[in-house]
Amino acid sequence: MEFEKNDDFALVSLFQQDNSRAESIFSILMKRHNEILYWHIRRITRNHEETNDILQNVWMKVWRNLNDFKLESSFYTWIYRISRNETINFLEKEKKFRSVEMDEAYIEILAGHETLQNFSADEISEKLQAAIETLPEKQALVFQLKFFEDLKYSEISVKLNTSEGALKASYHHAVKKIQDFLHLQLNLFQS
Amino acid sequence: MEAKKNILDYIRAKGKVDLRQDYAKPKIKKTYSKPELKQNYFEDFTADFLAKIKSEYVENKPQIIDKQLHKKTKILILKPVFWISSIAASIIVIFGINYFLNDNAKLSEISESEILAYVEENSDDFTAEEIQSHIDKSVEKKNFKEIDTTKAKTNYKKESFNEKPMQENQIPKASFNELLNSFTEEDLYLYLNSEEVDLEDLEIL
Repeated sequence: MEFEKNDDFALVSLFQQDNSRAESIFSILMKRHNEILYWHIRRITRNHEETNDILQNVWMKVWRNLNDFKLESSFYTWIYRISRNETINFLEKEKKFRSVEMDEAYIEILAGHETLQNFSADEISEKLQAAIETLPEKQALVFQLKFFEDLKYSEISVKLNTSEGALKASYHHAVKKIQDFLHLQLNLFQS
Repeated sequence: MEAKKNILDYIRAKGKVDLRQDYAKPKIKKTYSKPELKQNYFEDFTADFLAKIKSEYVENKPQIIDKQLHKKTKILILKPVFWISSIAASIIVIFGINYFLNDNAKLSEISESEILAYVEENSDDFTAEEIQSHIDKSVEKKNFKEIDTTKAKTNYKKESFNEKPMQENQIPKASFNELLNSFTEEDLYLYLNSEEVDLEDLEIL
């Protein structure tokens, strides 16, 4: 593909300039980010079918609004924001009627922490997700890409168009906040 | 001090991390397997999605044009409650203004003699207090108008003539004497008394 070597910024600019090649440019963007976006949504819904529906809505929104995207943030930050809002809205609507079979918890607890052993992975998953929701957008994004996707700082730097130093600082702050949140939520200070 | 340990060191994300072989710490829970996805799920997803937007994109194009046209010929549709009340308010305002103007016009059409004749005929209908208060109001209005007129005249004079005020010694002597002669001794006495002037203090007396 002729555009594959272009970064997100260049692709979005091309998309906005040349409508005749919009589809091929869009397909590159999709292939580049679809999988991470999928797992990001699935960690919240913990269900494939719902994730699939939300993901379709997310890409549809991206397609319809990409011409108006101002390129003030990175493309991934923008689609992450859309997916987060879509997922929250979806779950809000479906809350009353939700009877889907949910995945196992997306985390596992390792040996060595006595108090943590008293909680199920499901409980910790929920608390961890709640903790992430309290973070500012950038920190939440960096934390998820680092903690769950295990991406290197250099990779995240390209994705978010941010320096590695700034990413390390964001991740450090995010970890600190999540730890404090979990300690408080799980009453670990009392043990 | 367990609480001070980094709690995230004991929580591992499943998925990609699972593939790593260098776990330093043993897992307590059963090993997690990442939910299975249909083979080529992401490729198929992308292809399906692109096919969908391809068909929708063509259909959407005229909609965008329609939207632009609609913008130009936008018609504001009001609910019946709004337009009925708007019309009612307009009618009230028009009639109100009309009535007010007609009333003033009718009054100005009536001559002073007609009004006096009417009052004379119907004088029994008015109490003395009513007449007194009406006269007071009329006088106030009249004075107000006179002050305004004077002001206007003064301004006009200032701009055009810059006349000097008449001095006391400019009053004709004959008329001044006439004025003094018209007062009786009693009048002067009463005036000084009203001004609380003691007659003994006046050297001339």
